[in-house]
Amino acid sequence: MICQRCGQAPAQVRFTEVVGAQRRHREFCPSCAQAEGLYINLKSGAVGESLSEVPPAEGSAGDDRSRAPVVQLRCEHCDCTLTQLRRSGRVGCPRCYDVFFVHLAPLLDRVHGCCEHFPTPLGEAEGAGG
Amino acid sequence: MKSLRDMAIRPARWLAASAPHGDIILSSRVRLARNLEGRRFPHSTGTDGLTLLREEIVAGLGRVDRLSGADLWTMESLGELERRFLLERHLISVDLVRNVPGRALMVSEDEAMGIMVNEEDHLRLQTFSAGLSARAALESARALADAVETELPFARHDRLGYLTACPTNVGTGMRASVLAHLPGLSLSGDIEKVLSSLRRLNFTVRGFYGEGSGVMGALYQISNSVTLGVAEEEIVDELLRHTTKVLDCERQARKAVAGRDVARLEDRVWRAFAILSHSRMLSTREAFELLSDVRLGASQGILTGVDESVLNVLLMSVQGAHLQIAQDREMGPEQRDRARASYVRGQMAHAAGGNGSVDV
Repeated sequence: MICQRCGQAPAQVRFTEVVGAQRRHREFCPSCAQAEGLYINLKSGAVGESLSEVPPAEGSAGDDRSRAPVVQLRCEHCDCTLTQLRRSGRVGCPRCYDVFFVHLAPLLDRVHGCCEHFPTPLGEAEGAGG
Repeated sequence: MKSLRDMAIRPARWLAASAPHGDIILSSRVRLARNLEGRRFPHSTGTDGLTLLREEIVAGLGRVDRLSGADLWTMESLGELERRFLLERHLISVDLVRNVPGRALMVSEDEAMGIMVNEEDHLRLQTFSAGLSARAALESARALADAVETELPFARHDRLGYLTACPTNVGTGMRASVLAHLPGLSLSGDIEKVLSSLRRLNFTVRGFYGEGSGVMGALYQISNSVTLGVAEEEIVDELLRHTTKVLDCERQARKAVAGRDVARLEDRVWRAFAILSHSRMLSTREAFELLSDVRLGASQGILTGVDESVLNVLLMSVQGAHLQIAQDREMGPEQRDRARASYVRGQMAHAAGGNGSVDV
């Protein structure tokens, strides 16, 4: 299988994009995978969306040419990907909040101490405990 | 439409000295980030798209009664100096100085309301008021946002509130802040302690120009960082509660500094007054530091007969782009320092009652 991006190098990364209910599969060589924003350990062939997701190379694992599967989320409306969101810290459009919510929740929790906006109206807070 | 020069030679009303706790809190501000329903956020929209979006937003704002008589500037219509002037005026961000196409600013006649178009979010609505008056700023920000929302429906989520380009602003989209002058705490050495306790309470402390700016003249911007899961009133109440504590600390620190060595403090204040009144070259930073000392001296009764509102206005008008726009000429750094010293000398004579003297 030849890389579907450069059309030259052998594909080593199987890349799945999830757009709404559809899945689109593409095959990339290591350098095109990196260009698409995927971190890759060129020796082991391991791929992830951040360096911490990429396991370190072990021995001569570089010989293993089996294609590593990668799933990428993409917003149907604005084309923002999870990788772009992680890089820039910003979402592309209002719908991204639903598309990426599972990935945004830890960030929201860290910054705001919660993941939802249900503020207690003033004056009701004291009585809430019963 | 008024020119930027008209603005430069006229002080912003939110710098009035007679405001609540105006000796320490110069002004209060509320900013609401809002976006149009179903549209890509500005950073993921191309230049053509931003320009079209701006037309749509400006047309919508044009139908808001509350904004009748407001001035509108597209960023393309302004040079860099003029954009820097608006930055110094706290009406636009560094982002709008740098990224021009498709961006705009709308400002109400009295400068109490400003709207940045296509900054990080489609709309950044800002309201300003003098002294410690964040509730008043919130009320007018809300009234403005409600009026705009009838013309331009905002992106909202049933579980997340108002949606913003950056998840750190989602929910209320609100940043409430005060601009505090804390020379007492700076001199007593307790400033870091106070600032770190504010940070522990999830409040952000920045310099005069906000994000990424250093501290000049003991001026600090204190603002909330949590925007999700809390009501707007609660954010403002918490800001007021913490600011009131900071006020108490600052007042105590001013007393303590004077009590410890009043002669040294008097000397510092009078030296600052003398340099501002007689120097021939003055940088912005030096002007800010000296104005800070003189402001402290005026509040502690060391300098009497000084018009404090002149000092507040100077904090705005000594800035580089303000000087150049007011004098209608572009200047290099040295020229600016000379022009600044000359301007400040005149203003100090005016602040001291027109005859260049204050009560000793």
